Amino acid sequence: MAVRPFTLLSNGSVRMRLATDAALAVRQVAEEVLTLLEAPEDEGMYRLFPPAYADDANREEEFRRMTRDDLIEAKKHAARVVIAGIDDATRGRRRLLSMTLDEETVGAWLGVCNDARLVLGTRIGVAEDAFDEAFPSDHPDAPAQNMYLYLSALVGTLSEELLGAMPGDEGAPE
Amino acid sequence: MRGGAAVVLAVGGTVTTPTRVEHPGTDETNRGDRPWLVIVWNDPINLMSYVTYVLQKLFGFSREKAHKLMMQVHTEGRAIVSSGARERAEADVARLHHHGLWATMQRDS
Repeated sequence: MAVRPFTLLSNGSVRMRLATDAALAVRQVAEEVLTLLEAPEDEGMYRLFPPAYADDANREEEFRRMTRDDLIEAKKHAARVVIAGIDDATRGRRRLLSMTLDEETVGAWLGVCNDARLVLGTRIGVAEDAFDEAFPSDHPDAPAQNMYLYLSALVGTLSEELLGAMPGDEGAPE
Repeated sequence: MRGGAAVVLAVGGTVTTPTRVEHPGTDETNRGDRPWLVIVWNDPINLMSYVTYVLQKLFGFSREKAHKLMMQVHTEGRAIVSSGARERAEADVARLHHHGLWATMQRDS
């Protein structure tokens, strides 16, 4: 990314600068996340919904009953926040898009981009110890890999920036 | 976990999912006083910076503690991030799930 995409402001908001094309790609990803959340039981979605109780089916069922709808709704809300923000900011059709994201919106961006990474990474088979290698451009998963890598850069740089607002080593009580 | 923002994709392997840890003494009796442990498991997708940020944000850890727990997840495969009553542990697990971390809970053994 040629332009530093995220700058933390003193009030906890984040100034975001993205090429409009990149923002529209993120918008597309958010739309896809929204669509996929309509079928949360699909195999490709399992990474978004880990079990709480790996060894206790009854308690796991109860946990899911208590939490699953909220979790899905929160993820959908985040996607809608991201989409609405991009739509507002792209009305002028500038090449570079500059937005100030308040804390809730920052969380939505981070959440949607990370959820998309989890889904895409699962789909294309990201593994911890595998040899890192780019797919050839004619590989059917090459577009997904490109998007995954772009989202990884966004999530990584945004996380680093947000860490700047967190207590340092002298920080909060444990 | 993946390293920096300039992460390069790993291909050719299968996705690793957290494995269960078998615990002796799963008898329900005499366990009421043992706390529930909230465990975050390593996964190949979440970024180290992201996990550190989420742990600081959700639990109010210092940078040092969040980084240490993140590294424990990364190198040992898992780390206990909180413990306590079952309802509290469930709430923590739910918050971690909201942030895409692979978290489970189990009774202290």
